[in-house]
Amino acid sequence: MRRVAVTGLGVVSPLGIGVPGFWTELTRGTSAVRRISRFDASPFPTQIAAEVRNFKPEDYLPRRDIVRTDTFIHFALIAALEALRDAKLDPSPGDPRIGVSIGTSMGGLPLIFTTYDGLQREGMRGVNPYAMPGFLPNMAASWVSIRFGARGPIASATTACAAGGQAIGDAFRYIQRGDADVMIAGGTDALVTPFVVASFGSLRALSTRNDDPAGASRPFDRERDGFVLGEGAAILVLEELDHARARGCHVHGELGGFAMTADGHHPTASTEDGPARAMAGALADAGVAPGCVGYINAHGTSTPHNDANETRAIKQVFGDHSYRLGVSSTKSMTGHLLGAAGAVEAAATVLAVEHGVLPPTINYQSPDPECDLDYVPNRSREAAIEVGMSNSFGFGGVNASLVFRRFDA
Amino acid sequence: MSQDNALSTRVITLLTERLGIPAETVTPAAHLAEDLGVDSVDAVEFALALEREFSIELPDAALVEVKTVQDVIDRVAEAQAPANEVGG
Repeated sequence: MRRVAVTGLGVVSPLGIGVPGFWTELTRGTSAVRRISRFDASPFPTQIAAEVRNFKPEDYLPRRDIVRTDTFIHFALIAALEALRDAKLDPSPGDPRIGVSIGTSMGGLPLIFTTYDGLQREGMRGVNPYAMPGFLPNMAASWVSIRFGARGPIASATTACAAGGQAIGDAFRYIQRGDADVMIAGGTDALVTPFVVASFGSLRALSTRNDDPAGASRPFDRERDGFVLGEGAAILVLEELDHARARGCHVHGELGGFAMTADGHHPTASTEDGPARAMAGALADAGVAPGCVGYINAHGTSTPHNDANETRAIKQVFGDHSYRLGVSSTKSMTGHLLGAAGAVEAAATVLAVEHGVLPPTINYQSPDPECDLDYVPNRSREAAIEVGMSNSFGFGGVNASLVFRRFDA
Repeated sequence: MSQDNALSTRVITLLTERLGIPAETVTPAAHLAEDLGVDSVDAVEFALALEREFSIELPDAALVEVKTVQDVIDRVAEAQAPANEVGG
């Protein structure tokens, strides 16, 4: 079986653009949640989010690309740029052995709204011809393929909040099967908009702790009251191991296993069984015993239901070992990046395994009897771990788990 | 003459701002497709922007046969002309 190395990482996150800043803030335990600056959120029950602040796409991208695309594509292009630079990979134009797999939950929803506003206001004259190719969910992957000359397999998972995890898993399979030698893989979403805040608010899914933004995302804590919306993108350069060795590039870690399951149960309420089978399946795929796992980057949304349910699912898979491994939710700091969450958290997991440091779950103050694992509370800690897992679950009952292994050259 | 300059500046600004074409490449003699990479989608956006900027009507065909930035400037001047006569 062909092995798959992680040779490049790129992150656009509420904690910063670029991996060094992101990792520093993540291990320092910094919250990126603030009052929403993008629009007037005062009519909504939730007025906080983790935005990518001071975002200036023109610092990274030609204006020619910026005007033709929505923000979720800007994020993906910048993360890909960073990841390819990190991998020291400069794809020759038109390489059919390099593919792209980028997930997103809703694509360019904000651009859809802008376009519709134009149509209502001015009829056809108000409809920008760039809109359609600028908001389609697959266009993040397509723009990356266009800009970097990647002509291999192309995919765009849209499995809600599991999309980033699934996109990386799909890419893993393309390389394992021999369809590609390199995959530019990850997730992106830019949805801090009135419609999205209102829609999740209507579902009572968002935290309303407006008077304490930094304390609002508190996964596994008894006082948690919903998730905090975030935005951003992350890209992993996945590469067939011998291909990476031949290039002599740095290997951050190895992607060892992946599994995807459906709950087949309910549109929004997850089961214990679906996530448990995803975790067990990813371990089996990697050929790793549960006892070898030292860290789980949990889905850990900070909703009352998810965190208790995920805790039960972890116990089902890991048994007594559940109490010996570190389980943290970096959403406590970044907020929930929806279709990008799985990718940003996969990057965090790779970095945790590579550096032997577990990022914390911040805002952990009041233990919940239903959540009784070691959530790496409030402070990061050193731990020499061999294997880390990243979980991403989404509406519709979709569950993705990825297993990363430390790589010793 | 100064009016012409103002017109060409406004046309060139639309190319750089709305289509995102690097300012240093846009000269009156520049060929839209070959030098500036203006494609058929850009042409629609450009026409909409010109119509709005100059309060003129440009039929879809108007930008089909134009080749250079100067051609566009001339076409806009033509489209403006009747309105100016009426106004004057």
